[in-house]
Amino acid sequence: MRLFLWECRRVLKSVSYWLFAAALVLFLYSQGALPVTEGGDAFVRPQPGDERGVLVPGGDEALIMPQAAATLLGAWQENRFTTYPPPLCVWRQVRLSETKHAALGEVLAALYGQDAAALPPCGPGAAGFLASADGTLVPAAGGDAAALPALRPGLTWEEFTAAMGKADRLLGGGSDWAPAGLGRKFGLVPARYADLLAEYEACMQHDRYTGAYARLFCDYAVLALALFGALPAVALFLQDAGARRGVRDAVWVRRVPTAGLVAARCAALLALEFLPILIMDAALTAYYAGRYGAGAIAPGAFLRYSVLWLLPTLALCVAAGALLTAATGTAAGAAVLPALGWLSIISHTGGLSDGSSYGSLLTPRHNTVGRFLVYQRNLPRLLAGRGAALALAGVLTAAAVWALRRRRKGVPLWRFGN
Amino acid sequence: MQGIEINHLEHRYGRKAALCDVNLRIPPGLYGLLGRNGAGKTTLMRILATLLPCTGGRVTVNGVPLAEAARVRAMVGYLPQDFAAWPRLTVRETLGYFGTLSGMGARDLQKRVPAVLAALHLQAQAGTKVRALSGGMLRRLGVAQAVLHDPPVLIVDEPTAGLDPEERVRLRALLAALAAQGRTVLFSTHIAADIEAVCTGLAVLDAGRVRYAGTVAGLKARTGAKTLEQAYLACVRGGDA
Repeated sequence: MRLFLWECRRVLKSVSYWLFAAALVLFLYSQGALPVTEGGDAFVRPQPGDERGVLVPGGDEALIMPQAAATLLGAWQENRFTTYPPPLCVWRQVRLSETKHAALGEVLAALYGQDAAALPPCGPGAAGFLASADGTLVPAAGGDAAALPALRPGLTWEEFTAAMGKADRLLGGGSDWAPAGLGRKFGLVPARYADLLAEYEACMQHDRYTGAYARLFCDYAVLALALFGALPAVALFLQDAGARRGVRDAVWVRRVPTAGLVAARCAALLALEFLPILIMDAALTAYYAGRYGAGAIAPGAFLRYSVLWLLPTLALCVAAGALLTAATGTAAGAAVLPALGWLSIISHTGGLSDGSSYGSLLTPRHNTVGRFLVYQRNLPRLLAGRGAALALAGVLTAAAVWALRRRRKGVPLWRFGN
Repeated sequence: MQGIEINHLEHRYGRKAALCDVNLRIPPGLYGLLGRNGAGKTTLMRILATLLPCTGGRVTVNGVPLAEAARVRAMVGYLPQDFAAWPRLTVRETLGYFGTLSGMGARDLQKRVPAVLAALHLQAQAGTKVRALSGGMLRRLGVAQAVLHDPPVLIVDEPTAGLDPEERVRLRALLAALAAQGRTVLFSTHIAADIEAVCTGLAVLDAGRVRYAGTVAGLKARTGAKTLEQAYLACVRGGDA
C-alpha cells in the first residue's frame, strides 16, 4: 500500500499525467459532452416525424437471408471483404487465396443451389444495396429482397447461419456475416414512431436521463483513453526502465519484488488516470440533476457506465504501455499505442450506434443519447468485450512483470541462436 | 563468511569476454577497485549488485550466493556510476521512495532519512528538488540512497569522478567512515590517489582480469614504486604482478 501511495505521488508529479488529464477534458469538451447542452444531442422525447430516415433491425429472417447472402456473393465476386477480426477488431481488407475463395464459392453454391460463378453480378449498386464509404455493402431501407438472386428453395435459418459461420471462419472472423451479427446488419426496416417512443420510455424507465448521457460520455471518453491512456504509463516506466542506467540500477537493486513494483505502479496509474473521469462523472451528475431535477436522474449512472465502459480500456492501455516500455526500455509505446487506438477508432466509424463495435477491446462505441434498445440488446457483447479487455490487461501486466524481471537480472528477453 | 568472495567469475557480452577468471576475497572495510575505463570494474560491480548474471564462477555476498538475488539485494547498497534521480522529487521524497522500494516502513524512514541527510550534510537540501542539486550534492544523494537501508555491503562505482577536490575528499572520508562502522565497502575508481588516500586493500583490474589483489603497500613494494599511481601503471604495463 505504501509503495502504491509513492507511485501515486510520482504520477502526480509527472508532466505526462497532467497532459493526459488536460487532453481528456479538452477532448470531451470539444465533442460537446461536457455537458450535452439543450438543442444539440440532448436526450428528448421523440416527436412524430423523428422516425423518418431511421433504420432499425427488423429481425425478419426472410429479409435477412437474401440480403446477407447477396452481400457475401458481391464481395466474393470481387474477392474483397471487409472484416474486423478479433481480438483487436481492427479494420482489415481481406483477399482470399484461391483455395479459400473456391471454398467460399462452395458455401455460396450451397446457399443458392447453383454454381456461384454462374450467378449474376451482385457488387456495389446491386438492387437493394448502397455502397458505403469503406466499400462495404449496406442494405438500403427495407431492401428489395425480390430483386436479389433467389436462395435455394427450402433453405432453413439453421442451414443458413451454419453456412454464414463457415464463411466468417474462412474470412478469419469479425466479418459482417458472423451469425451473431446477422440480425444487426441485415434486414433493417424503417423505424416507426411508436418504436422510438417505446425506446425512449424504456430508457427513462431503466436509467433515466443520466444513463443516456453517460453512454454518450463513455463513447467519447473511450476515444480519448485509447489515444492518450498509455502515455503516462510509458513515461512513468521510462523513468527507470529506460536508457538512464543511473536511475534504473538504483531502483532495480532494491529488495522490492518485480511483481509488487509493476502492480503498485499500474494500480497507481489506473487510479489516477480514472480520477478525472470520476470528477467529471460527479460534475455531470450534479449538472443534469440541476437541469432535469434530482428525481429524473439515476445518481449512479455515470459512475456505473464509466466503470463498466472505460475502466477496462484504461487498464488495457496502462498494461500495454507498461509492457512495451518494460520490455524495450524505449518510448516506443508512446507512438505504437496511440496508433493502435487510432486504428481501432477509424475501424468502427462504419457502425457507431448499431452496437457492432460493442465487442471492441479498445473502443466500444455508442455515439448517441438514443438507441437504448441497441444498448440493451448488445449488452452481453459489451460485457464480453470489456471482460476480454480486462483479461488481456492482466496478461499484459503479467508479461510486463516477466520482461522487467529478466531485464532486472540483466538477462536478455530473447536469445537468438545458441 | 562476512564480505564478498569471488571465485573464477566470468562474464561475456556476446562473444566478448568482459571478466575472465576473477578471484577475489573482499573483507569488511574499504576496498578499492582500480582500473582504466573499460577494465571491467562496472561489470563486476553490477554483477555483485545482481544487475548482471555471471556466466561462470561462484560469488557470495556475506555468504549468500548471488543466485538468491532477493536476499543479496536486501544486504547490498549500490551507487551506480552515473547516478541520477527524478528531477521533480525533492531530496527527502527521493529517499522516501528508495526506502520504500527497500521495504522500509514509515517509522524506519522517519528515523533514517534525517540521520542519513545529516551524515551526508544534505539537511539543508531536504526540501530541494533533485533538478536543483549540484553534481557533488547529487553524488552525496546517491550515497544517501545506497546507505539508507543500512546495508552491510556497499558497492560504489566511481563516486569521485567529475567532482571538485573538496567534494572528492569529503566523499572519500565519508566512505571511510561507513567502512569503519563494520561494512564491506567496495569502491571503484580510475583515480589511484583516491584509493591510496583511504583504502588498505585493493584489486587492480585490467582487460577483465585481476592483475593484483592485496594491500596498497604490497603493490607499491612489489613494483618498487613510490606512489600507487606509479605502481598501478607498472602493474598494468608489466602484466601479472
